[in-house]
Amino acid sequence: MSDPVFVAASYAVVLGGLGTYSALLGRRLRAAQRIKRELERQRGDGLRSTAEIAPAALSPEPTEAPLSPEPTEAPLSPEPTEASR
Amino acid sequence: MKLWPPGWLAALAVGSTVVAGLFLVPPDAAQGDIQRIMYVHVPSAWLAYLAFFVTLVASLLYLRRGDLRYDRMAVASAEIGLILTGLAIVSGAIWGKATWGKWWDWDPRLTTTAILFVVYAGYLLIRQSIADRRRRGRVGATFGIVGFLNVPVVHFSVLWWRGLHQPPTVIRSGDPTIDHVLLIELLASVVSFTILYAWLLRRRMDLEATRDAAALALEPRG
Amino acid sequence: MSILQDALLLARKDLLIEIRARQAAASAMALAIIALVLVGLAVGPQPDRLRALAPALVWIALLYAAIAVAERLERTDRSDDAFGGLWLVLEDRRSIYIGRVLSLSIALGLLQLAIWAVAVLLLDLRLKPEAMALVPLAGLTAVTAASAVALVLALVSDVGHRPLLLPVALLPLLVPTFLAGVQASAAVLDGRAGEAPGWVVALLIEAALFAGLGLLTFETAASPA
Repeated sequence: MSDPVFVAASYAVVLGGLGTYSALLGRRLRAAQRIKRELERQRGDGLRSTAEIAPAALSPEPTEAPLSPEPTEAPLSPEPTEASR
Repeated sequence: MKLWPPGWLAALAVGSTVVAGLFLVPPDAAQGDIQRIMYVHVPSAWLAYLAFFVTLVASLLYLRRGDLRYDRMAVASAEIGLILTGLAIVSGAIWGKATWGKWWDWDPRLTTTAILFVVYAGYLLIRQSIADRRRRGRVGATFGIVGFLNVPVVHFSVLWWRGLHQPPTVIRSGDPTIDHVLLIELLASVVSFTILYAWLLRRRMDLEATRDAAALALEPRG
Repeated sequence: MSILQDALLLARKDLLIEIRARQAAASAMALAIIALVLVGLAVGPQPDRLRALAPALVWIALLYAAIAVAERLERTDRSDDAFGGLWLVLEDRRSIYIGRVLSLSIALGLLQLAIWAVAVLLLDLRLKPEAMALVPLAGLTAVTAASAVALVLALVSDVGHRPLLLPVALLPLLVPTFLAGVQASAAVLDGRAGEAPGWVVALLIEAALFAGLGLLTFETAASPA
């Protein structure tokens, strides 16, 4: 091989390598930003739905039994016994 | 931060020094045209060392202050340093084939640069294997400091073991052995690669910050 | 209790476990013998070449043996969260690092001498009286390697693929130790004792660097998530 071929090969390797890395970095950055936006949007949706449920959950006079179950049986609200202490 | 260079400036700087290195600067008296490889090989190697030094400093700062920005800088710089080390090794191998007649020799500086590559590949692999963000930062920082111990060994290996690789031509006692025009082009290449490094570093840190923000969005509320 | 007393206790624990279970030393020795036999087979019956290669062969065998020993000790510590208990109990956690360096130094020093003994038999080494210098050299290289191994173990202790990552992280860091160890042993074996002190100084510097960094960063590096 002649000198110009070696020189061209070196420049191609270094500049090509840096160019490819820059391009890949851009792609990784865009992908990460997309994922972040999506996750934040989902989190925002989750927060909004929590905010809608919260007043009912915190209501002093609950209308639905599952949100404020009355403890009727001992196994659900066990009193500590000697053995368990 | 306003100090980060824009992408167009990095491209312009590297592009102009590449054109000058290939077409404007005269060939070296001893090596001829083949010496033009120096304008991409040497900046790659120097910037790789700088990148690993930045990883060291950022790692120290992270351990001291616990600010994740330093950890992002450390990992970003290590990854870019790894790429630059790889490019320096390959371009050096091409230069070696043209001047020594073989792609690879067990020359001390070549070998230790390859080892440096493996050290920082290990750094990135270990980081990837740790899920906890803070622990990843701590382990990465410690490894970043220990790994950098190899950099002086790489630099001084030329003097320690005296191999085939040419001794330092610029940073040495006495005047540089390189012609002044060639030296100016070499320094211009280093400056342009430094601008490119700074631009890449900012982009890579942005990526890490975005990933951290995404991970934060995944964490349970409360 | 002082940090050194804690460290001595922990080193004693490591060594007692090893003496009673004999798992790390046995597998490390087996690994070393296999390496020596394989290289002997690959090179063929050429005693001069094998003798010339001996220091490098012994050191490669030792590095892999060190990984086996370190991995075994760490696995014992990590089982049943024994490490978590130690972490909570100890006043100065650097004693874990010092203890590990002590136990690894003793294990690696003895292993190195055992590997040299096997190498003398298998590679037909002709030892001169100066070869006795291999004993203190084994001690020094063991301390240098142990300081690095104990630190890297702390780093990779709870990563997903520790057995795979331990050599990836450790071996490149040990290259200067490897070079200095091989060159110093070769100088001693060839009767070029005058060349050994330079490499011994290199080993001392590396031991100081690794041990210093280990003491400074161990607690941060090994701290559980």
